[in-house]
Amino acid sequence: MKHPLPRLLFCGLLLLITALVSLGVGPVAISPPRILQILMSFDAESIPASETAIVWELRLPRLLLACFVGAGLGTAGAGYQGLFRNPLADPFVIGASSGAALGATLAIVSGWEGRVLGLAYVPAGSMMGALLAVTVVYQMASIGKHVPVLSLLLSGVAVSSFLDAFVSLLMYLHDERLMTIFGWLMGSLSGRGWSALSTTGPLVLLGAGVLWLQARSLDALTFGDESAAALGLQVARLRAAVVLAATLATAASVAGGGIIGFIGLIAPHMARWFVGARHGWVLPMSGLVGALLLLVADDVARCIIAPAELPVGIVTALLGSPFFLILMKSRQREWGGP
Amino acid sequence: MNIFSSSTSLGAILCIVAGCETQPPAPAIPSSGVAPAVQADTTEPKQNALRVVDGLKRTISLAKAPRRIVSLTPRTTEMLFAINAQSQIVGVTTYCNYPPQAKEIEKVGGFSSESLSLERIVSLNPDLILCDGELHLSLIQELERLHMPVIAFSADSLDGLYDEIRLLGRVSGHKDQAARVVESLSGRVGAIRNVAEKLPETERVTVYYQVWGDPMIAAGPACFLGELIRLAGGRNIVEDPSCRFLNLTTEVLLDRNPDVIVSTTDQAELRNVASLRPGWNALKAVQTNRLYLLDGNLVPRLGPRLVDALEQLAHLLYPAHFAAPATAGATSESVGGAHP
Repeated sequence: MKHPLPRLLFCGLLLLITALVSLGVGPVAISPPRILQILMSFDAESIPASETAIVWELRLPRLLLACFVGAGLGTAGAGYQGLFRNPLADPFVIGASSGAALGATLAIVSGWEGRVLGLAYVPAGSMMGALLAVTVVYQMASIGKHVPVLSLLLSGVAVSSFLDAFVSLLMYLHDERLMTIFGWLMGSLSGRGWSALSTTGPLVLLGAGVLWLQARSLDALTFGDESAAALGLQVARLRAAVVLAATLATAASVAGGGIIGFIGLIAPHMARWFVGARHGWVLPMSGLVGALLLLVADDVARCIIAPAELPVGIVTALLGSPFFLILMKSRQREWGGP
Repeated sequence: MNIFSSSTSLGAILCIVAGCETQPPAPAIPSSGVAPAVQADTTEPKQNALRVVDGLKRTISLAKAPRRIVSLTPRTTEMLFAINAQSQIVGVTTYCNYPPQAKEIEKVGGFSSESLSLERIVSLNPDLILCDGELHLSLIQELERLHMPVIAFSADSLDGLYDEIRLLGRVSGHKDQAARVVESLSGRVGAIRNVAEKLPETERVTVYYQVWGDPMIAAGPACFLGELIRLAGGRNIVEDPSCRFLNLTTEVLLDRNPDVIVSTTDQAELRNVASLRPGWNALKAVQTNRLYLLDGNLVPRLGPRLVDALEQLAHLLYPAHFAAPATAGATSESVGGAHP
């Protein structure tokens, strides 16, 4: 394979262009020159305050948030797939989504309106929920210092169903809040501003950065635990570091956009198609692909049923799955069939 | 407590398909004429059998005036009290909180079909059950299967409300009281309308009525909330006259830029909205401090106290033309001061 750097840069450029286009897309038509004028604050008096607010307060923070959330999910997905050596793993595989769902649901039904770390109560609740759930799963799975992959996956499944049952119970008991809870569970970037970005952005970068530092160890792990240990790798420590970093990125993404499925599953696969299997490249590429996918999905979500909008989680699943299947089909020849 | 008791607004919320909801969902129960429960009765000749057509176009005939009524929506409970039929009520819901005496009646559950206890309803041995025509469709089918007489209520306008009050009066044997209640309500509505109609175009304000905050849902002209706005002299930001509820986003709201934003006290989201939701600071209504919360116990309920809410709304929209209503309990909150 050719050197992956040009491909990575190309994907970055594509993301930048898509972001600029996204700024001009929305239910309210604002011309590109006008958007430029707003961004440059040029002759600000002649621009209606509502248009300035649409660009500065709504579209710009939202598209940046889409990038960070998509990147967080993509990178976390790549991290988990590497850790579990399983292409079916995604950021929610060990309970993060169920924990986040319960945290958010609790916040919604409690009606509490405080702020934590600059986050409104629902995102804050979801982030805490995700972190707590993964902590519990990890504790349940560990046998002394050893955390076998299988027991991690199994306790993830068990804790998830337990937490999901609580979410259902709360939804049932608080049926007057059903729509709000439901809307959140489907994942949406609607109504998030700079404050959500200021929490999600740095935490995603931190999580992704820590993951990237483990890239070489993850490469070694692809040969199996024992071979990796023979190479001098401290498998237990690596596992803890990857889970922690990936969970941080996931929790931050969930705080920004709710539970958005599919991105974290497909972004690493697409990334591997573009840059090969080495984690040093796969991790950043997964981030870029995740960002790009979520950005496009959110543009669709914002526009397709204007003046209303769809939860972006529906769009990622609805457009993402066929897209992924088509890509997969076209690659199958390279894998060589039976 | 969150009292979101109106079936119509709830319908909008449960309706996840966004865009404009123009028609109430078609009743799932076929308008098969006579309800099975009462069919048996009508085979015997009953001289004073009372026949009514309910909100789902079902024909119900009652052999005698009901003495044991179970009222499953707060608004029907309020109507029964208003026409002085409270002594005939044997069961209500946990959301039936007005008048205070209603809280002392036995509870049979919450507001959706699922949260209501069929067993408790049946154990009260009712001779009439008042249901919501949208919210309680599945329950109505269950009750029909058990041969319980049900009347469904699905009005979505003030005229519809008057009809329902008259119907309840006829059924419960309080026809005269019901007529007096309707007369008084329509008189008060007429008084508001007369003033509002003469407001000069230049003074009229545009109104966004937020039925639900997350996702954002506006009341359109075709639902009774839109009717309130119209009667009070406001111009709805939702223009399509056939639209009942419109899902929208902040971006669209900024584009339509209403003079006034109205919601209800049960919609707590709006209280801190200027600090919570990005972009709202640029809204005219926020900048001029014209965000109002109507009493959440009055408004989403299409009951007799809706006219109190109309008087509140008219005063909030045009304080120079309408005095603050003196009605007890008719309080409203300005969300002023929420923005920096």
